Amino acid sequence: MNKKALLNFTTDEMLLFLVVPIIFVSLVLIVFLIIPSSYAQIGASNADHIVIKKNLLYNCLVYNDARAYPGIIDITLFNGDRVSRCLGLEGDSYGTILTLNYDGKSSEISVNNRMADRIAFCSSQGSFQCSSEDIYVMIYENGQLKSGLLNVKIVGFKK
Amino acid sequence: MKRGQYQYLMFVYGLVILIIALLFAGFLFSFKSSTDIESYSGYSSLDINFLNYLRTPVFLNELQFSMMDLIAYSYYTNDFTKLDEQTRLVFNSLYGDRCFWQISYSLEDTPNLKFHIISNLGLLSENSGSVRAVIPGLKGENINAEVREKC
Repeated sequence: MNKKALLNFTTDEMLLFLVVPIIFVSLVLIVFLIIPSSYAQIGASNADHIVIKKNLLYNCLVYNDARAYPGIIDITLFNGDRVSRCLGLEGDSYGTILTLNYDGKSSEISVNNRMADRIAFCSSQGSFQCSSEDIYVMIYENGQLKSGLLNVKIVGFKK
Repeated sequence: MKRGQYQYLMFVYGLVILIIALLFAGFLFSFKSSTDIESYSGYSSLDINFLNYLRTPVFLNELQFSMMDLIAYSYYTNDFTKLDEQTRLVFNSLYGDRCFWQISYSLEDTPNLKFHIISNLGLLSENSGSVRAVIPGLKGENINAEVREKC
């Protein structure tokens, strides 16, 4: 096609050359930019583990007299049954193993044994999602505050 | 121009525009927003660790105080030996050598001028997780204590 042929296009033909790209670009903008930007992708895969830990430290194990003291563990509340009821974990949801080390002593409780027993599978790249964290805590025992370390291991299924 | 030629030209033209549009789409997709909850430092247990560090009982001249009192006392006497020792005891037992940690102290009026820093392995950058607290000093001044961690 030479330059002379281009000049032979009618007005409708010339308009089509403009309309085609405008339609395509508009479609692309709508499908790939406007629609995806109307929502954000939030990776919340480990958020449930964080919620369990916060629930333990701000609610289930917390020492309270007239008010609650987040991060201070009341040693009388550190028992499997009570923590199980407080967290409400059962079945194939999450398993938790709590190990409290203080004063040269170590005590361990597990919540929802059905899942907690599967903690050995965490070392493999399987279908389980696990987390383990040491938290520096204060322990309230016999009217005294003692420092200690709480290790929280959580095992759940990958989503 | 003949009708057949015109249709062929428009088909090729449309195809070229489609390819350009798809390339443009790929470019736009690279900007898709994505956020990971784990990356928020506020969701770690650093706040609880720091809160309990400040509550930790310490003995000074056979009297029991909290770490908060020791910070204020150390600033007042300008002797940070006991504070260094107790702080390292707490954070080394917590992190071992798995994480970098740093605690810095400054006056509230001059937050950029740290009067004392304790860390296990050098200074940490601004993008590491951090928590702050304000501690009342012995002369009515306010002391900023800030902990940073990077694991």
